[in-house]
Amino acid sequence: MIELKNISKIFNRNSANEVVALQNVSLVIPEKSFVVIVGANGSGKSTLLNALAGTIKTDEGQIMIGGNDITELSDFDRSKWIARIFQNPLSGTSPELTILENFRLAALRTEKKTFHIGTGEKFRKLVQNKLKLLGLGLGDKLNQPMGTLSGGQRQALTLLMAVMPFEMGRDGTKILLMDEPTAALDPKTSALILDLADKIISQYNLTVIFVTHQLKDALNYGNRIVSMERGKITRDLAGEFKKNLTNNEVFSWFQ
Amino acid sequence: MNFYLTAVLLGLGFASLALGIFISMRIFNIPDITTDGSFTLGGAVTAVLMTQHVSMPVIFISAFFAGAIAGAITGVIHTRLKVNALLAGILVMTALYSVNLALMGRSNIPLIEIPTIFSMAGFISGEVNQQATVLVVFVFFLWQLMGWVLKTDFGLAMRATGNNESMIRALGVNTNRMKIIGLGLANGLTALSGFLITQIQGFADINMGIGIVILGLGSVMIGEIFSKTFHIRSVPVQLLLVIAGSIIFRLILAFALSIGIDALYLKLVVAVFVLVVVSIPNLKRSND
Repeated sequence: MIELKNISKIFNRNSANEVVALQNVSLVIPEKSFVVIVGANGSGKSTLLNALAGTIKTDEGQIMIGGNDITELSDFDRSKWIARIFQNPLSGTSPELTILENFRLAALRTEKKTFHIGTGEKFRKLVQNKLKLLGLGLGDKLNQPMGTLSGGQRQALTLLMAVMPFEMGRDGTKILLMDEPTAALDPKTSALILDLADKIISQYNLTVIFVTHQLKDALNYGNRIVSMERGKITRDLAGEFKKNLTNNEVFSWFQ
Repeated sequence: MNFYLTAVLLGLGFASLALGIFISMRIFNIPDITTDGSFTLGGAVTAVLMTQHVSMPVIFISAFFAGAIAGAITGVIHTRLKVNALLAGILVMTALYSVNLALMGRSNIPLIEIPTIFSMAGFISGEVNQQATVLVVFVFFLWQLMGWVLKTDFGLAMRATGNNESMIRALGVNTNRMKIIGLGLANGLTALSGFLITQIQGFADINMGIGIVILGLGSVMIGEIFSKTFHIRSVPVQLLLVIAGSIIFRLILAFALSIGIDALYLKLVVAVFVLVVVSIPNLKRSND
């Protein structure tokens, strides 16, 4: 379970360009829920996601994951629970490392990186099988540098990499944060990425927060929708209420 | 011919420094000027301990860790105090000048009649042969060790830190700590070059490190031209090419001297040569 309690964040406090990004936001997300967050630019969705990931420190409030207070933990310490998919499809992978090496690091997201060579035959087979299921024809290109792939391919691999620790037999809270993961991709690739995400999410029972600007995607995916405005949560609908939403209704929230 | 052989030996002696620069420059994208100071530090520690007749393995370890601490200090200044990496390196390099002078007690320590690391190959006749044997073995082990480290999970995390910081943080790596360790390792390797060169030339000098960073940069660049031309992605082979770069660099300097260029202009030759090496890829591109 993720608990955000009275989170506030103000950028450039006491200056002319002061921005109130989050105002006393509280949100409780039970395990295995798939929450979609919508809102206009500057409404605080990305700040909320970054506060949870730990890339920005909040001014006030408390953040808990599975009963652990993680408010003071750095982003790299929170990776034990949290996997991230970035808006920039190139941000989730290291271009100069090979596909295999990228997967190795991802498999160790929840672990220490030690002086041990972990890219041996057994690990290679595991990744190879995963990639074959993906069907992008990357199964025999494990030694290729990540940088030679397209943005869409790299975003797809970032998704697979997010669940690698569970392939290695690790368990516990499984959170996936997606910040407009398809904003930089063409419509066909976007659909492919989101379908893949949906499959992975249900296969591994992930707890998901998905920030998007695409109303269609907001309606199609997830079992709960939260809308934000000026740093506050304005709507929070789940289950049937979310299912019965129409495009026009959600669109009207932005008026 | 002996002239060029000496150049090759010096190239092997500087290979460790080149590998250090490969780490700071190629892996972390940090131009690390600490090098000038940590090279001399390695030499100073070596010379001082040798005159005290300390055993060679202890000297070796001391030189490495002295350099590593210097590099780690640069890393701390850069990451924790948020000082620009170039400035952090200049600060530590400047401070090291005083540290080295205090350590040595004078500006030059000659090492006459003191057994060196090359005495280990005493079973081989001829000083040059002894040096060649020890240096080749030394550089070979260093190459193997570095190749292994960069293949381990830790090494991969290190490479990813310089390559895509936001990604590797999201995968649970404290990138600040990684940079501190990386700069420590780079300068430890640099100090090992100081350790070797001091014993090759038979003295340590307070000014032996001035402008030495350019040697490492040049060697890495030469190695890079080869790995780009032949599309080499294997890290161990890239490391080997950097070592080759260090030797080639020395051979070119030897050639420059042999065709009668005044030693006075040697640094100018070095600067121009490195400029040419650095700009080759861009010159090629503009021709397309």
